[in-house]
Amino acid sequence: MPESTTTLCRRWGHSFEEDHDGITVYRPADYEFPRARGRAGMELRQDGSWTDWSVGRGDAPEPTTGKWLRTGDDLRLANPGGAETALRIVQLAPDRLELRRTPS
Amino acid sequence: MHRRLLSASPAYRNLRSEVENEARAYRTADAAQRLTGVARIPVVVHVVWNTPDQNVSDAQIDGQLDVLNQDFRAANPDLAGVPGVFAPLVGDAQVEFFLATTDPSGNPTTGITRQQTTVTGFTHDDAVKSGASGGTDAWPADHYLNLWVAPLADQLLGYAQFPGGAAATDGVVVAHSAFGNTGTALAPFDLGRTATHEIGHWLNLYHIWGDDGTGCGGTDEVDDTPNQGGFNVGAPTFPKPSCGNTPNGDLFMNYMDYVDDRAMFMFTAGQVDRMRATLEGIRSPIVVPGGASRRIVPAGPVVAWGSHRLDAFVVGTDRSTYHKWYGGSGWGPSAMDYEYLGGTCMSSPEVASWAPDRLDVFVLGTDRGLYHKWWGGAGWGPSDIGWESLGGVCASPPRVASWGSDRLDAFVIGTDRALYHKWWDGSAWGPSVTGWESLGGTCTGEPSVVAWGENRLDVFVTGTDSALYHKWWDGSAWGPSVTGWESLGGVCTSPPTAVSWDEDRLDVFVTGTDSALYHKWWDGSAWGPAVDGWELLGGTCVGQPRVASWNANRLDVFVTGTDSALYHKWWDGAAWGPDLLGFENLGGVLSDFRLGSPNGGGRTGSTMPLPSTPASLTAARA
Ligand SMILES: [Zn+2]
Repeated sequence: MPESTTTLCRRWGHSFEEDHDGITVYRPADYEFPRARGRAGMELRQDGSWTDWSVGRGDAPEPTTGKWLRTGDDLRLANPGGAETALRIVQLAPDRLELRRTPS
Repeated sequence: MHRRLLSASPAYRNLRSEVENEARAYRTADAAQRLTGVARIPVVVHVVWNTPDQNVSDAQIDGQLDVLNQDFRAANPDLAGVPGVFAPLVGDAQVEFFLATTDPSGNPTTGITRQQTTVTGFTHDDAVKSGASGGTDAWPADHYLNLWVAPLADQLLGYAQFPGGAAATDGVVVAHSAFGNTGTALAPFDLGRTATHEIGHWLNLYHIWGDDGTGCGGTDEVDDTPNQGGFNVGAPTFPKPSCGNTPNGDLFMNYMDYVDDRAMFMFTAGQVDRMRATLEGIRSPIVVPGGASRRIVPAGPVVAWGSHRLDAFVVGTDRSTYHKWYGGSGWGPSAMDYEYLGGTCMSSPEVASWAPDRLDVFVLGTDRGLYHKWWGGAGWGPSDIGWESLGGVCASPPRVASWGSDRLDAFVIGTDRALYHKWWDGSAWGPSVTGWESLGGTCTGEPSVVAWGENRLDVFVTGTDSALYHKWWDGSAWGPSVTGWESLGGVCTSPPTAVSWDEDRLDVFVTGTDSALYHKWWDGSAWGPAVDGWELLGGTCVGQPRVASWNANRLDVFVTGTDSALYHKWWDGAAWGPDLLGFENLGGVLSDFRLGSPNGGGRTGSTMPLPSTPASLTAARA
């Protein structure tokens, strides 16, 4: 497994304050984010499972677990129903992940 | 959490769809059928702290309650910041919050629990809601709003449980760093708005952007909020358009967006409808009824200190006091039995309730002195069958009002026919345990007293000329003077009965010389139909009319007819029913429904002087 995949597999928080130009920015979940009422995130695991942590209706994070698949810089996230989101990895570093949605 | 419960529990799913149906039905319902007036919610604050600085002070808790009582009454000063185009949307939820005064065991409480924990930061897993996992167990969710204040991990500010979930986890959680507006509260979440937002969820409000990420397809199920993309943060500048909602853009100053505390300051009328539907529906047991806008429960032989709750007191043929209660599902101690409370009474009991599960009972003893006993939630004081002596030689039964927590005002007519008054101020009886204040007058019957607001009393008596007389306490002095009275005309053959369904509103009923029912009212500025005039309401009545008001602009009048049957008429806000001069015959044969007694003495009776299904309760749901 490539080193960069090891870097990818962790829990990330959506650093929405840093989103720019259609790019979604993530930081490791233990990053010192500014306080916010809600912060979505996701977790990618070595076993191919993926958990989406969305902002819940009552503010508690809500997990949805599906699968992820990486081909080069293309990342596909599939929810339990099978619907896929296609993304491009723009930057991957231990302290920062940038993703751009690719037209399906 | 919400979605997890939805997918996990069919029962929760069913309850949630019921809640949504109620909200929808409410939106389309006839406005006249809606819950009106202020709904008061008892709150218990569970402080769970790891380090001493997290043990928020009572003052910080009071500050949070103050914020809630502004925000849910559209009384917050920053409401002025709502842009003009959105001003017509502003809604007053008419919800007020108070720290609970009685704990689940019936003991007096500050409404605050404090618990040290080894947990340094709780997550959204509800561990804070259980003693077994380092938190504090919830108090019964149908009687208290549970509000946990604790250190939260992952910078979580708070989270809420929607109506319909498990009682053990019902309520809201707020981080100590986002709680209240002093002490541990940290900018930009230091104005108490996290609790406002979470309690919005607890009353069934969804996020204003529709909880669909940044899409335009989600909905908050509220008609008057603009469609909005994702959540807003910080303190946006108006207008902030999304999803084609130009020119006014997002309603980002709404409590249900994700902006900073200083940037959120309104609910909409549509959101208020959803919250009111919840309070009228699934959360109705928690609402402390007021009638008037304050939690003032009228005193009488029957009191209702909670929704679907009645406590009735009668004197038995042995002249002891007996009690029975209606608890929503049936009568206690059983359908046919009464609870024996001792005493040898020369009057029917007069009962006040200044808090849920609190009762103060007053009777005259054989020495014509006033006697008192009280229910504190767990037991009777001074003992099960004992009574506290309060002195006096009374020529009338006592009449009592309570205008606030731990406050009682008792009135009797003395042997000189003047009105006498004594009061409990929370710590002592005034003017003394057995002393009385003389308020003048020459009264021919028992007084009627009503409190429509804090530190306000209105007393009515009939004079030797059979006219009605009135005096009032305005918070600082008696009007028109300590011993003076305002004449309101009429020729009354019964004592008056006065009620209030709103601030500065009075309705007074008497029986006239023709045995018909007469009515007059104070609307805040003048007496109707005239200072000395009366509205004829027909009928042939024996004795004093009894009146209940369970809602704003609603009156239910009960009289005994010459055939000893119970008759009823009602004011629905627009007209008298069944018509101006008519009555509905409720049947039965009553000797005197105020002084009714259990048959046969002893501890059981077969004639309860009440409809078996309390009319005021069934009417309230009609
Ligand atoms: Zn929320």
